[in-house]
Amino acid sequence: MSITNPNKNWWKVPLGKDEKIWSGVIILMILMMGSMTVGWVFTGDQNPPDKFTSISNENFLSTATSENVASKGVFPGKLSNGNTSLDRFTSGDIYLVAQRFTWFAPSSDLNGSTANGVKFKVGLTYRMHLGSIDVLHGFQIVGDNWIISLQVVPGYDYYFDFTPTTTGLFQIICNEFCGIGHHTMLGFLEVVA
Amino acid sequence: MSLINEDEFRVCPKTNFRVFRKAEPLMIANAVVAVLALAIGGVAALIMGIHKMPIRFSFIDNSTYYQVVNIHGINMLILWIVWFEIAAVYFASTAMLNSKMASMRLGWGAFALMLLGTLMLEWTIFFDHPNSTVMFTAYVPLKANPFFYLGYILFAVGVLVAGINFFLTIYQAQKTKSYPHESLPLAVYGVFVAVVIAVQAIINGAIVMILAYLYSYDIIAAPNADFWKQVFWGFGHTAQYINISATAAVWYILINIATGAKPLNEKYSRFAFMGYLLFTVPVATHHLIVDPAYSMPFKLINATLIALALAVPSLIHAFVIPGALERQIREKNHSEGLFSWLRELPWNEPAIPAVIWGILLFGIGGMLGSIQGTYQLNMITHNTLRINAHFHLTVVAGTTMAFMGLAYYFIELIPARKIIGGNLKVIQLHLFALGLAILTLGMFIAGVQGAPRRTATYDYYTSLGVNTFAWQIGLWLLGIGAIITVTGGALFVGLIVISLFFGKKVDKEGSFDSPIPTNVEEEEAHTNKLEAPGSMSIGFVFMIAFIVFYMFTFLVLSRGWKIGVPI
Repeated sequence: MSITNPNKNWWKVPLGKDEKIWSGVIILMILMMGSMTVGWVFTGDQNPPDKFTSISNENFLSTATSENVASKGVFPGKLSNGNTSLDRFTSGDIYLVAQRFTWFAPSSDLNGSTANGVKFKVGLTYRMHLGSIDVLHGFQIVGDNWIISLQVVPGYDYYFDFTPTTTGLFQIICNEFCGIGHHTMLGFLEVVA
Repeated sequence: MSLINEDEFRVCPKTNFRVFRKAEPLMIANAVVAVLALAIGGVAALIMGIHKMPIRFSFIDNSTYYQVVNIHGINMLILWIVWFEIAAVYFASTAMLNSKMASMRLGWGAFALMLLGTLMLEWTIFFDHPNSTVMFTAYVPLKANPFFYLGYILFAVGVLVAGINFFLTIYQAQKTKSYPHESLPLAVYGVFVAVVIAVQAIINGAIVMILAYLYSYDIIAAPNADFWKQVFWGFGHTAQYINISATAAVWYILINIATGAKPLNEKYSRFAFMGYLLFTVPVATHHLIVDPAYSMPFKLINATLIALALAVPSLIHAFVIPGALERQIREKNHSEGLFSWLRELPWNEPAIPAVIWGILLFGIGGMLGSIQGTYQLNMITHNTLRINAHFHLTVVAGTTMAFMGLAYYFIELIPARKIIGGNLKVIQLHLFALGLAILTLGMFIAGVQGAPRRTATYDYYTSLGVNTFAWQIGLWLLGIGAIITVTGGALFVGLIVISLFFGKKVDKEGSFDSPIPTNVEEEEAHTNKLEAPGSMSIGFVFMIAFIVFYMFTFLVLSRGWKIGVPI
């Protein structure tokens, strides 16, 4: 009984047919799920990035500002909604910074101001660097029928390679609570043909 | 046999357990604080649900919403559940083992520490907004009032003291042979596992909260944010395995009280409890799959592969418990149909809706959790409302409903008052479960399309071009579900509080002539037939749904952009 003592020698009672079948089902299930996820690491096109550099918040901001420049292939431009952007139409690096309550792309070409978004060409592969200069933020792109969600953590330059395969203007929202203006934190990512 | 001082004990006339009189007020006090926290968290839940609905009749502003989320999270996930667990821990170690409590001083000391911590937490989250609105997770470098962290620390130390008292009580019961066999009863064993996991969780929690406390006074610089987060979840997610161990133990108690059902196989169920203990250690990594600080093998092995092993114990309990009910009903009524036993369960006992709804919804929540914890799939689920659907199904439908079910029996056994309202207690559980099903369906529908959690409003996104129209059906369901669930919860609080003070007193004093309850040894009839074919069929359907859902989520993932280079 579950609320009083068990049978004497309970550990000698063999598993019944029900338990054996059910254990088999569980093991099959787990093997299936395990091989799916491990297999996807080696063959799938969508895997969580795991590359980073430890960097102070100040250094991340200054690196981003000096790397997002024309001489490295990043040019100031305009998004289709009129906001300023940094455009990159060749493969390469781009830096995006999170700060309460905004996403921005800094550049020394912008004379002290920053861009609200970034713009890419469809089909090229980019290396995006994400960093926060205050608290934790959540980088989330809301696509048409998919999303990407990554954690942005102060003290880290989190970088990953990605290839946008659909065009359009996408919003970047923050999905980690970062303060009482959290719901106003927005940036843009545009992909053009 | 044990020597029982008849002045210090009473005999429970219903169960014949020897109840240590001095421990009773302590158990009741812990349970009362738990129910108060549940009431506060419930009011917060109602406000949040209404605020989330895509119609503007909310009576709070967006800033206050975050405060309410903070109040809801801390009161529900920490205060209600842990306070009730401590009451259950004392109940299991004293009443169910016919034992004295090792130390009443430690018991009340733990109570005082936990209460002090609780009051500090409540004070900061209620009166220090927005400064202390950092949520249950409190990730540094967010910085709250130092008393917020001190409240957390004192509460944790109190729980640790209660845990030590529990271990000492078990030791004493073993030494004095206050119960009639060397092995602990299964339910007490489950609670024992829960308390061992709790010790591990509290050590992690103490590390991060002490760091954050020092940081809040600027004594140290901000700790590394991802290190802090990792260790925090060593407390935060590990604590959920305290909850599920305790919940499974309560499920075994409830089915036994309501029908006399025994587990299908004692060894199998104990192995499952042990599984929680073994596989819980790396579970924190669930929360860092899309974080920068850790490598792919670390995240894949800890967060996904070992976590798959962690699904084993839950899958075992989720089959064994309905299976035990099925076998019991079949033996008693000679039911032949595949599912007729379900109808023949004693549905007028609160135990049955609490367990059946609990396991059903917990199973779905576990399925969602396994998907979210899968290395790649986390990238399309992290921090969306899907996460909330997962843990409302596991922690609320599983743990809270099991505790509600147990509370109805607890009131009649310990303070010995009859629950008022007749069948209302059963209706309450059905209402609560129905509300939760709608609530979590809404969360899932909105979350799967990208609605982030812990976000006061999506209006700002809409105005800047995010298509949130498709989220709205989910948000409507979320709001309606919240209203129904809170109605069910309020009914629970009402029934418990009114019964505790005004319920009819029932006979408390049994006779010492009646023997201590013990197991009746039964030779198991060996048969080649399945003992629980109905539960097995439901289990198969569940597993097939699981596979389809899992594969479908990978299909959704594959439609997104290429990200992260394959090795």
